[in-house]
Amino acid sequence: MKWLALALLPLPALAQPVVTADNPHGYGWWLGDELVQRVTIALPPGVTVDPASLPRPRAVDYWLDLRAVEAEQADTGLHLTLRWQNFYSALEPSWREVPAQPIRLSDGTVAELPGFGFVTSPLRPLTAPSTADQLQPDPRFRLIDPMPARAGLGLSLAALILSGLGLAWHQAWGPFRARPARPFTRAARAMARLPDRRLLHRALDAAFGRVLIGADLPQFLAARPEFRPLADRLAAFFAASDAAFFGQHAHPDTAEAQALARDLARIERGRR
Amino acid sequence: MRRLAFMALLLCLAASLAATAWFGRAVWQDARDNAAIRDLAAGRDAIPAASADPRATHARILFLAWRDRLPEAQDRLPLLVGAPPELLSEASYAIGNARMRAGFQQIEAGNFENAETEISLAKTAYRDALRAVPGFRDGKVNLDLAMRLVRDLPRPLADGESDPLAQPRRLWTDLPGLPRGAP
Repeated sequence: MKWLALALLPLPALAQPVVTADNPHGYGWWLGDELVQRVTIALPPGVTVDPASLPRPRAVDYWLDLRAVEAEQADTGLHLTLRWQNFYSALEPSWREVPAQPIRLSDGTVAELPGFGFVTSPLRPLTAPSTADQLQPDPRFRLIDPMPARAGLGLSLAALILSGLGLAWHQAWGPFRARPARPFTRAARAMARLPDRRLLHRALDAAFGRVLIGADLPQFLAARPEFRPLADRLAAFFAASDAAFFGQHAHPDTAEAQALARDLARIERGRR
Repeated sequence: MRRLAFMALLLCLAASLAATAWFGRAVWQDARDNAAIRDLAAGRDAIPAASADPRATHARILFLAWRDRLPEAQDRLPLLVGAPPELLSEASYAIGNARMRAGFQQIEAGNFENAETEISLAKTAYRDALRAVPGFRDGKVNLDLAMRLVRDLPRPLADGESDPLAQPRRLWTDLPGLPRGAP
């Protein structure tokens, strides 16, 4: 029975994750080049990588920097992108070894991010003199390209002019003062100078499309429902005009006619 | 319907007015910063405004580095952190070049200790330039030149060992050890 007891001993978690690395090419690197290593760690379900054990961006060696470590969790495991930078100033093509990095998993196992090797080559001939005249020149001054801001200014000025013109047209302002489609606005302005009820009658005729008499008022309000809130005052206006025309009341109220014209003009221009 | 049109027109007017003001300010700032950059490039000192474009800061660092006002230039480098990396890279490179020129002057004068300090600082500046833009070729060439003058050494040997005899000898240096000139 001994063998059974041994077999029943809890097994330690030995499942080693599968680490696959896409290493940078082994040849053709210079001083200052960035080498990108992509590592995929296939993790068993429920196991994660301890984020604290990921390598930190740092100077790994006097000739090697780890610039950035980007981790991306996927369904199949963890994708790591390690960005190394080579600062080895080679005098002849030289093989450099980037060390492996240990990482810890949440189940306690330790995996290893593989290292890699590459050949870095000198930039300048070995015999090139190291004198002041060999220095590359200082960088150039960079001017700001003014075109994007100018184009933006041009476009927004055009939009400003267009929307200003649109508003003036809609409100019958300035060059659009005498717009035929704003009869009440014109009438209200004319009546402010000359309080003549007939001006408002002409405007109502223009808005109706033919001569509007008191009896046609419901028809007018059906065609132009936006004026319905003023139905009572319009009816009173027509009644007063009829009374004046047929001699029952010699002096109708011109102030009310002016006020009515103003209110009709406001509705006509969308102000109410 | 008319009310909606009136409101929409008012909104368009307000939006285009705001855009005009914003772009007008941008055009003015560009003109102001470009004037500062032209002044600096022509050798006249100009201090860009605090809100200036990073290219104006870049221009001022280049100006200061060329005139060996390095502490001032160095102080302005953090202003370029959020800017396009080329600007930070070129500014660091300009500081490195200034250090190298100072180093070569010290070599001419025979002060090799001071030259080594300057060239080490130049190497740091060139490394910063390459960290910002790894493909910056002028920076690579000048860093290589600086490295030939003052070679990097493996760290574990340089510290920890107290015995001066155990310290590695400085190999691979191009620093001239003998005065030049006719005998």
